[in-house]
Amino acid sequence: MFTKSYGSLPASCKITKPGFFLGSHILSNRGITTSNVSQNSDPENASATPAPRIKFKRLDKTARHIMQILDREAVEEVRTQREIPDIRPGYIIQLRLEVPENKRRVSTVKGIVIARRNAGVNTTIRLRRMVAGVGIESLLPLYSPNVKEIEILDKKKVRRAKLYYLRDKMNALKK
Amino acid sequence: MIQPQTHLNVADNSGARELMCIRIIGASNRRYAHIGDVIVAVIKDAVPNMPLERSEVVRAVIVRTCKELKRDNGMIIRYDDNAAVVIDQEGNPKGTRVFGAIARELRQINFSKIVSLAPEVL
Repeated sequence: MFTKSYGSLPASCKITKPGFFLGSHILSNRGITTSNVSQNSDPENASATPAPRIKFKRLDKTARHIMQILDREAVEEVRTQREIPDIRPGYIIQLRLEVPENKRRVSTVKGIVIARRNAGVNTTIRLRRMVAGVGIESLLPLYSPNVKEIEILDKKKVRRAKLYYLRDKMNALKK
Repeated sequence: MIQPQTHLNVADNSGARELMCIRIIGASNRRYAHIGDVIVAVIKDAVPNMPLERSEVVRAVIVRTCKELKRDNGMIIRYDDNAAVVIDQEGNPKGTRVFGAIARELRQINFSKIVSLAPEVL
């Protein structure tokens, strides 16, 4: 049942990914010892207590999972404070931005969303608008505390997630 | 990212229409210029009957670039063209009007006169 050869890894040892070979030598040693113990005790206990498996979680996977949870919590926290509507490319929206450089909040920004990048709390949208005859693209973090209010004015039908072709077409889908 | 041989639009009414960058003022061997940097430029195209003429060497400050300008609050601004405002040795603009949107960063670099003339400050 359990192979006792030193070089190979016993079947009872749980190996998660082949890349984790470095640590699994240590695991395999420990795995061998416990499986020996259980082998002796197994014929005695007819009740099926299976051989204790040693499970090791990959630490980087655990860390990534914790980061995901933290990210989701941060997004939830921002959503409870402010109402942020669902914004997709092709929407024409109007934002109220607060500019902290000793000015009052004013700054209404109105433009068409040409891209949206989902990254948890750092979700950004790209807005394109015409200001004083010059085309301007701004990249704004959606959950930034400077963004005070978002209002959707219009929704255009687009067949794409990133509308970079509008850079050549300037006036096609107006601000 | 403006470098020598870059053509820039002119964002004021000083008489020039297009500039070509020759040199970036600042540290020697500086590769690129961004918004707020002063460059030496030659006038490639000018409006007739104005004090500034073609193939005159002037100084200019860059006000708009196609390369993004990053801010500390995570916002990034990207214009659709490269543009500059012609200035004199002290940093005062030679023209009387400025066209197009100007970035707010120019105020910190002591170009407040240009910022005050701007129709829209971003």
